[in-house]
Amino acid sequence: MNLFKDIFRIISTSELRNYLFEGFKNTIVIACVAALIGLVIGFIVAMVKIFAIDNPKLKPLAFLCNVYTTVIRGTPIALQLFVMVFAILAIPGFKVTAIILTFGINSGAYVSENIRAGILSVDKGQMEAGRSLGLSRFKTMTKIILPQAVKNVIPAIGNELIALVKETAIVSMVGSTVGTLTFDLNQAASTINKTIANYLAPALLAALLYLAVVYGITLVIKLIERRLRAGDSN
Amino acid sequence: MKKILKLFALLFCLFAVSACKADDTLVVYTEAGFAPFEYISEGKIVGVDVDIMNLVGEKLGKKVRFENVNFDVIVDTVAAGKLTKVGAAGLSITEERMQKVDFSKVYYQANLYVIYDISKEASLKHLMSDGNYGVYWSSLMTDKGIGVQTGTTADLFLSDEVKDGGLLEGVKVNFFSSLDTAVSDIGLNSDFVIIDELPARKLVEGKANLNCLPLYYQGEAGDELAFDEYAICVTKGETELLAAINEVLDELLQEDENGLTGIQALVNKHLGLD
Repeated sequence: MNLFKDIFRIISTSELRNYLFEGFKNTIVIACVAALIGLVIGFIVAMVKIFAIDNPKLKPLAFLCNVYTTVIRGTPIALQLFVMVFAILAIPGFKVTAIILTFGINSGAYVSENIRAGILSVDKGQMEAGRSLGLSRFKTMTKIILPQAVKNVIPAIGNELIALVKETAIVSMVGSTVGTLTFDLNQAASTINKTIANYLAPALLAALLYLAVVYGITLVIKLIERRLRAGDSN
Repeated sequence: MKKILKLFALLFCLFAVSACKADDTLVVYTEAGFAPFEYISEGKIVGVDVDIMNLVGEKLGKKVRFENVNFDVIVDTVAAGKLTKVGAAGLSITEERMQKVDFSKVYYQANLYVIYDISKEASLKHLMSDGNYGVYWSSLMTDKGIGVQTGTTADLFLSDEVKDGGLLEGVKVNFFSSLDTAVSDIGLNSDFVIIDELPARKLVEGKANLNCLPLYYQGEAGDELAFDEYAICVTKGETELLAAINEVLDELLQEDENGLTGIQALVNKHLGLD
């Protein structure tokens, strides 16, 4: 069959194969850096929202955070990417930064809600107990609440990471350049199509590589979950 | 339960009806970001290729429906022949594509143009040996990069030139899926965009900071234009369809008393020149 012949041709031609590997590497780098940014933003935003519940001074900041999550979760990421690259960060040489920031900021909005949900799922009595033992609000949060919340949050964060990896496939919308981080796995498939006039074959191989990353993330998440649950012997 | 069954039966009937309908409809795949050959105007796909395929539809007594898809998938889908049997998108003939699909006659020959920021004009513009102004490929050396639409002839030409030993060795190529995006990137991450003449002219229209000129190779016998030829692709074995397309193209390629071909007249119509 033609499809298998084309797939074999991609695998056996080093030029074509290298496009896939380069795209694979770039997709992972973009996703990893964006995930880190997302985790930091998400954590900060979640904390602001939680502490603002009984701290009036934080209310304006919490309002901003709410605007952030509403806008980011309420608009298409393709549009956010476009606006970031061609309007907000439209500075020569800032494309890669703009792209990674877009994904990071987008991911942060979802992560913040995941983390907030995890913290809220810890019984209110835990905070009261910590406070009555003389711990400060901050100490109770870091020593008592967060360690319990982490367990609940990990699966949701894993979910978000998986979504993030696949979302990076829209990078080529704002233009991809071979040799830079913008040349992602999806664009690699597109580039191979030019040489062999078959889009399905490289797209299937790209899909396999996406699947491999996602499966890797799943395994790591499972490992972390098992470690965290190791203490629950009841 | 009965209700659900009824619903399914109804859905099935609908599918059956739409399947029957598909038989007398000719589905044409295109990428509607390539004015004047195919572009969106007032929410509809229009253009020279659209007019050509409508004439083909008339000839075959079929309705014609256009689908706007990613340029990447057109040859592929036509090769498979399930969702569509025709691709009309200003496609240029390459050897690889010829192995997958059949091509009609060449119906248009277009020169490659470069779109650039007006501030660079002085260093680019050059009087060629044929008496026209143009730009040499070799003067497109840039640190930033050159934008192209993935899969277009401009892309194929440029990819050759940036390879080792090419005229633009080492220059970065920025791939875009749409031309509008490529043009909005000029000055940011690209210095130039290369595309065929007519889309280039349409793209710089009304933009004061952009201009475009034809690309030339510096040959020994004089300066040569870099050009691209368009054809329509059909699924292999669709001889009747291909014959109808070629017939229509033959008619359109004939010159009228003013020496104007039907194709050129269509091009002029869509460029707003008539």
